[in-house]
Amino acid sequence: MLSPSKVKHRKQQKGKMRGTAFRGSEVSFGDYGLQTEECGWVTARQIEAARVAINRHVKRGGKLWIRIFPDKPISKKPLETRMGRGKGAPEEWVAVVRPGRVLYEIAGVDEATAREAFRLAGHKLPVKTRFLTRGEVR
Amino acid sequence: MEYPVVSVRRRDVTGKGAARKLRALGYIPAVLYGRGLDSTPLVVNPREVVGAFRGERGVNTVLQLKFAGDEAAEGCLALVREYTTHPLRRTLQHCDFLKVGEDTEVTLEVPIRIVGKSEGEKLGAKVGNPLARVRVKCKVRDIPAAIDVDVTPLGVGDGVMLSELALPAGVRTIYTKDVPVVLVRMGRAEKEPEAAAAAEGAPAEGEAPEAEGATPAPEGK
Repeated sequence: MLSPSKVKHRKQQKGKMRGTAFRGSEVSFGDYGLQTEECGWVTARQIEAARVAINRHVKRGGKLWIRIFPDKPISKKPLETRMGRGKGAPEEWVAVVRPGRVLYEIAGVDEATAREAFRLAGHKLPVKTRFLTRGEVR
Repeated sequence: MEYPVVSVRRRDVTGKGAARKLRALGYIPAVLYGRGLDSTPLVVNPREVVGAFRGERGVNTVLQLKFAGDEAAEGCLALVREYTTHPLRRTLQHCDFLKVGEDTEVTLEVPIRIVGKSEGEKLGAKVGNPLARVRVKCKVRDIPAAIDVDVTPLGVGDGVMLSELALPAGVRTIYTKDVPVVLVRMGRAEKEPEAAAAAEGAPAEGEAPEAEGATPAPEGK
């Protein structure tokens, strides 16, 4: 699973997820991309599950890029703990995504394969996603 | 040669406030530049540009710019050098036009189009296309819609390198490293579901039970 090797501060505040993605909203490396239509926290486990789903469908050939990285620590208090006594221990890592962010990109496969691989990957993610082609304009 | 006509209007307002007002009216800000021409701010209807993109050359379509409301101004040929889209709606937000002539040499990315059915495919192999676009240099009148790669004679394990591409007259590829454009390979052999899970999904799937086990029920209650 993806996680930072070193961090400056072990715990972070929740933060806000306002507006749309202003970076990383284009298919920049591959031919097709999976774009999020909602904001949310995507955990390292979900990123890995979607990656495995894509690789299993594509089987061989093609190159995959993961365009998000879980660099935000999420802390949780243990079960059945009374409130207070400080912030909980870091439990998992998440990537904060805003609408428009490209999550994965793929190259070297045909459109039908990429579409199906991303459909399967989308089911592993906590946000609504859509298929995007390189340079798509409406 | 016939080029799609896009009518443009000179723009004397700049800045994001003016640009937003234009977009609200259904137009977008654009800019025209080129050799011997100062950068000229323009207003253009995005539908005309997107309509031109739907042609066979896509974003490499050469446009005939026509200055609306300015009879004295001469039109010119232009290529869309760069464009910005809205991250979600994918509508055009801004457009850069590069003034060109029919003999101007330009560098562009042209898609690869696979033609035919390879010998390898008949044996169950798959045709992979590791490089979907190639960078080419050519004159504006010679811009190809796509570069066709005939895969009919290719067997399993064969491929076509960038240097082996059959290019149209007047077109040459630009590259620093000769890489395969098309490869015919057998798909990965189907594994037993359990073996496949162990080989590939172990990090992701193997951790789910651990995670459940990480919060054991308190004993002695």
